[in-house]
Parts: sequence; C-alpha cells; structure tokens
Amino acid sequence: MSGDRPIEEARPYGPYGRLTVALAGNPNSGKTTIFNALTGSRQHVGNYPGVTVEKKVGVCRHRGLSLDVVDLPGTYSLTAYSTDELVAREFVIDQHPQVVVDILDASNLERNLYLAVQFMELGMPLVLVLNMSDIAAARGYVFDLEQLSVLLGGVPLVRTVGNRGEGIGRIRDAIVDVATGARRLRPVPITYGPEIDKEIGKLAAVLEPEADRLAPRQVRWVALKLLENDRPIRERIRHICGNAEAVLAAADDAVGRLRKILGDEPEIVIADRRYGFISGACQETVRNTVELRHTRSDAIDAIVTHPVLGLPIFLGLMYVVFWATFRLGEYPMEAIDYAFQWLGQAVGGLWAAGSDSALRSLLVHGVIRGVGAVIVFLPNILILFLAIAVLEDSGYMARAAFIMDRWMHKIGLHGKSFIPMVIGFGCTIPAIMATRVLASRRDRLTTMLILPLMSCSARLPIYMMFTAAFFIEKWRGPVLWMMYVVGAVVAALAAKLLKSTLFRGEAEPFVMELPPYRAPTVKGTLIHTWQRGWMYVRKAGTIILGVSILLWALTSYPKPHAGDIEDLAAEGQQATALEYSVAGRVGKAFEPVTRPLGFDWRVNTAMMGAFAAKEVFVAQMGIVYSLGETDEAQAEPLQDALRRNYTPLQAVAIMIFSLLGFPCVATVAVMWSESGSWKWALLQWAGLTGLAYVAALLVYQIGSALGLGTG
Amino acid sequence: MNMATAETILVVLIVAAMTVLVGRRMWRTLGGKDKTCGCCKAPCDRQGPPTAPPS
Repeated sequence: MSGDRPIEEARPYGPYGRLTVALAGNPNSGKTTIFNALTGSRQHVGNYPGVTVEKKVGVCRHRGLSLDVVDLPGTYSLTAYSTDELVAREFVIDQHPQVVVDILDASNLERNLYLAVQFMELGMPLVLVLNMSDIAAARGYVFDLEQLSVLLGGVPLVRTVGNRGEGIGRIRDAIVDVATGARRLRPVPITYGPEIDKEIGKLAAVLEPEADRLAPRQVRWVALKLLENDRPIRERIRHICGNAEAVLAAADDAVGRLRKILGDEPEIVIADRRYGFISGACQETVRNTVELRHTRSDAIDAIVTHPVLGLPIFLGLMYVVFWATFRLGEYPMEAIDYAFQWLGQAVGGLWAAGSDSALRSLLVHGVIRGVGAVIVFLPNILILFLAIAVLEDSGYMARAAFIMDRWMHKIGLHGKSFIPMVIGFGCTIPAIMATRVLASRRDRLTTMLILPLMSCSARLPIYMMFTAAFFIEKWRGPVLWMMYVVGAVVAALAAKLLKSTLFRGEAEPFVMELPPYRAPTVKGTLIHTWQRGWMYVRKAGTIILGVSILLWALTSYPKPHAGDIEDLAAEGQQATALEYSVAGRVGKAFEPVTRPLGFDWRVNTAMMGAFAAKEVFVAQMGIVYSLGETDEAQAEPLQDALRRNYTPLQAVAIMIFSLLGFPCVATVAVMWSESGSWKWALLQWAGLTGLAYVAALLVYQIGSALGLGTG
Repeated sequence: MNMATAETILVVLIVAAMTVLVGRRMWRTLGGKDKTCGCCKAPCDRQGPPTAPPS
C-alpha cells in the first residue's frame, strides 16, 4: 500500500506568511478560470484542452496570508507522457507547494479523480474543487460530498462554478485550513493488490539509503513509479542515486515478476486499481437522478462531427469568418486610412510647402505612412480574432480537431497536431511551442516544420492590401479564404512528404476529448479579442515602428546629386532618388532573381523588411510609395498606387510567396530552440523559401503564358 | 545652429536609436533570449491536449 504514508505535515509558511499553492487538474477542467477568479488575473481561457502550457503565478491575500497561486498545465496523470505533464509533475515534486488545489470537472468526476488519487499517493496536502457543478447538476448528478471527503482522507471538497465566481471564497478558506493544519488529512489506503504492494515495499527498502536525496516522503512514490516504468523517474534515479544500477535492476526484476504473475504490464494493473478505488468511492457518493443518454452536446456533435458533413461545415464556418473579416472590416478600415492620410497632411503642413526637411519626411513617410499602413488593418484583425475566440470558447475548435483527426492520419499525423496548426493562424511562435504535447519527436518535428504554412495574423495585412486593391468586392472574401486553404493544403502535402521520407513511422494512438459546448461569455470573448488587438497595436508601435524608420532611412539615403537629376521631370526625380538609395540598390541587385516571379525592387525591399516582422511588408510598401509621391497634397491611396504599378497576377504571386516562404526571425529563433538544432531552423527557412520561390514562379509564369490577370 | 541642422541631427539620432533597438531585439531573438514574436510579449503558453491516462 502506498497510501498508508502520513500526509505531509503543514509546512511552515515562506517569509512574510507566504504560501505556495499549486493549481492542478485535468485539461479543460477550468483551472485557468479558477486561477483568474482567485488571483484577479486575466490569463487566456479556452474551451479546449491544453490552454495552459507553462506555469503562471498570481497572488491573492486571505486571512492574513499571502497565497502565491501557480497555475499548472492540465494533466490527466502524474505519469509524464508529454512535456506539459512533466512541467506540472516536476513543480509539485520539486517545488513543494504547501497545498495542491486539484480542479475537477464535476460532470466527469471519475476520470478527474484519477489525478487526485495520484496526489494522494504523493502525500500532498490537497484541496479538491468540484468545478462546473452547475453542468453536473443539470446532468442530474447528486454528490454526497461529506461522505466522499471521508473516503478521500478528509480532503476538503469545494463545489464551484468558476465562470460565475461561485465558491471561490470557500477555496481560499480550504487552502488556508489545510496549510495551517486547521484541517487534518488522513492517509488514504489505496491498495494495488498483494503482489504489487509487496513489490512496492521491497523496492522502497532498496531506495531507503537514498531517502535523503529523494526526499523521504517520495520513497514509496518513486517505487510505485518505477513499477510503472516511468522513464523520467528512471533518469532521475540514474542522476542522483549512488546505487542507481542496483535500484533499476531491482525495479526491472520486480516488473518482470509482476508481469508473469499478473499476465499484464504492471502500469496497466496499477492504473486499473486506481480506477477501481475511484469507482468504489463514486459508487457510494455519486448518484445520477436523470437518465441523460443524449445531451445537447451529443445532438450538436451528431451534426458537426458527422463523418461526411463535418469537414464541409468546418470549411463553411471558416469561409464565413473570412468573409466577415473583409466585409465588416471595410468601413472602419477606410476610416482609419482616411485618419492617417489626414494626420500625414496635418503633420506635413507644419513645414513650408515643398520643404525637403529630413524630419518632416521621417514623420510623414516613415512613421505615419509606414505604421499607418499596418494599423489600418486593425479592424480586420479584431473581427478575425473575435470569431476565433467565439469558436474556441464554445468548444467548436476541439470538434474541428476531432474532424481533422481522420484527415491528419492520412498525412501521417494525428488530430493532436491540428491544435498547434489552429494556433498557427494566430502566430507561428506559440504554435511551435504547442507542439510540445506531441510525445513522438518525429511527429513533433514534422508539425513544427510545416507550421509556418498556416497563415499567421501578421500575413493578413499583406493579403488584405493586395486583395482589396486587385479583386472586386464579391471575390475578396473567397480569395482570402483560399489563401488560408492553400496554406493548409500545402502544409498537408509537406507533412505527407516528410512523414514518408525523413520521419517515417506510425502515428501514435490518441484520444481526443470533446468538452461540452458552452455559450461563450461576452466578457471572455471581448477580453480575448482586445488582447489580440492590443498586441497588434503594440507591435505596430514598437518593432514595426522601429523597422519602418530604418527602412525609411534606407529608402531615402543616400540622395543623388541635385545636378544629376535636375533635367528630369518631378516624377523621374523621385524615381531616380528611390533607386539611388540603399534599399533601392539592394532591391535592384535582387531583381534578376525575383523578376521571373513578377517582383520589382520595391517588393524585394519589403520582403527583406518582412523578415523582422511580416507586417513590415505592408509598412515598407506604404513608405516606398509615399516617398515616390510628387504631390503630397493629393496623396494617392496605397491601393491606387499598387493598382497602377502591378497586375493582379503579380499580386497573387506576391501573396503566394508571402504565404509559403520567408518565415520571420522569431520563427527561426523559436524553431532553433524548440528543435534543439540550427539545422532544423535553417532547413525550414531555406526549404519554405525555396518552395515559395517555385510556387510563385509557377503561378506568375503560367499565368503570364495564359494571359491571366496580366491586364 | 539653424533649424535644418537641428532637424538633421534629430533625425540621425532617431535612426541611430532605432538601429540599436531593432538590432538588439533581433540579436536577443536569434540568441534565444527573447522567445516572443513581438505580437505577444510572453504568452507563448498555449498547447493542445495532452495524452489521456492509461486505461
């Protein structure tokens, strides 16, 4: 028996009466909602499993104590199958929080108690929170909490509805009661059967001399983990135990003996015994008063996850999202564009007409036109992320992953890779980090390598700019949607290629959880949208502003000698000056390479600027056409300038190149750190840029040959 | 010092400052010290679902 160890005594508080409280729980049990309610934070909450990947800390005060609440990634168990589970486990083991608060989905109690039982095995001072108890009640569940608490060793059980803030005060009370010893917990007698219990005892005896290094209270738990063949624990033993070889040999012998006796892997039998304990506890304390065979979620799922209808519904929903992004964003976009034009003229008007002041040029052309060209797309960004927030919070995105699972299998991946791909629509960086959940390195590298093909929000302004300039209104939404679909299709083909060459191997089995549908709250949705919008504005005001000013300087200097251009007309003088600048010369130098793609030197410089951040492409186009204007009082809108200088075919080639190639500097850096090698980062960058070159070349050359979009 | 000279000096200073700031940012990003993408200062914090427990 491993549960007969004493519960850890209430440990002394940290300095100034501080308590460290770990918030754990299954994915999608509402941990982050409870964390936000406890600490007053505004961390991202999503209605799909796995929103939290790294631990976050918030502070609250209660009954004179300061509680440092740490929100851990969601885990189903303490047997580390993936990086996020390991993050949670190592925090609990190594950081010794005074209290662990385990958030349980009350409507799915048996499965959620699995993790709680493992905390009990560890002897952690525990508070159990039955969250979403309103949903449980609606499904007819009735709990005898008092009896359940008795069965679980006196652990406090708190009923909450996290999104309404109900029961939060009771959680704080329970934390302080447990931490101060006002509530005493008893060890819980969990038995794994006589054979396993005996082997745990024997292994614990072998580990005993290492007790100081393992921390005394962990000896029996480590023995249990060794019987479960837990790899990180075996590694830890190798590193810290003097008699590691003897311990591991004893563990292997024990596992071998148990395998023979039990006829199965000990870890499976141990898991079964835990579920047996839970099932027994629930039989006595949980009752279902309503026979709900077919919930509302099931009814919706029957349609949206239908084998035939599921995919068209998903694609249709995405189409509506992009159509709305364009259609609803049009008017505020025009208003912001007009405001920046007015601002440019107002600031320019502070100098005498025709002034060649460098400061004036920097402010009007570099800052206002450069940053303005990016800010103009803020409404579209807000609309896109409002729609995605609604889909996420309602629980639909988890269904999307479920629908895609079948298709992902066809390309050698599974639905688990789809979540990072959806995140990639926002930004490739968190998407690459999200691949940490993939246990197989092959699957992880494949997913990471294809992620930049999912169009991030930074590329949206590029598509918007060209689509609005070159396509009639009814085609703008479909073209935008097509860009995203093309990215996803190329990603699928690339994954298939990688999985059948570099990363051969079977996809791992995976259970996709479908959380119940929930009506998104107005507040939550608006917070998500605002956060994304604010990030965009902040990026425009920092890195994009900085790069715009540099690009302005590179596009403005050096200037040609006045004598060399005095014979030219005003327009010719501006054009010569631009081509004489550093950016002009660099752009020109690349023209022989990019001309077959339909790019000119201006596009080349914008592409180079986009390496810092994709939005800079739009900023640089704004700057270069603003500097080329001969009559500022009649400043030409950027879209008109684009229409005058490029054909629709060139616009499509530029969009295709932006979609497929040239990942930004942050993507390269994160790819390097997450893959652990420059090799993969460079391979990705060069591979995608090569792919983009070939794709844009084919589009432009075939289009030109067929006379498509050339007029 | 006339106005035009003062403006030119100001522009040079602004461009120099931006060169340092952008250069530092790029250096930190490539050096792995700054793992943010610029659009989100820290919340590279979202993941898909972890594997289910053994059953």
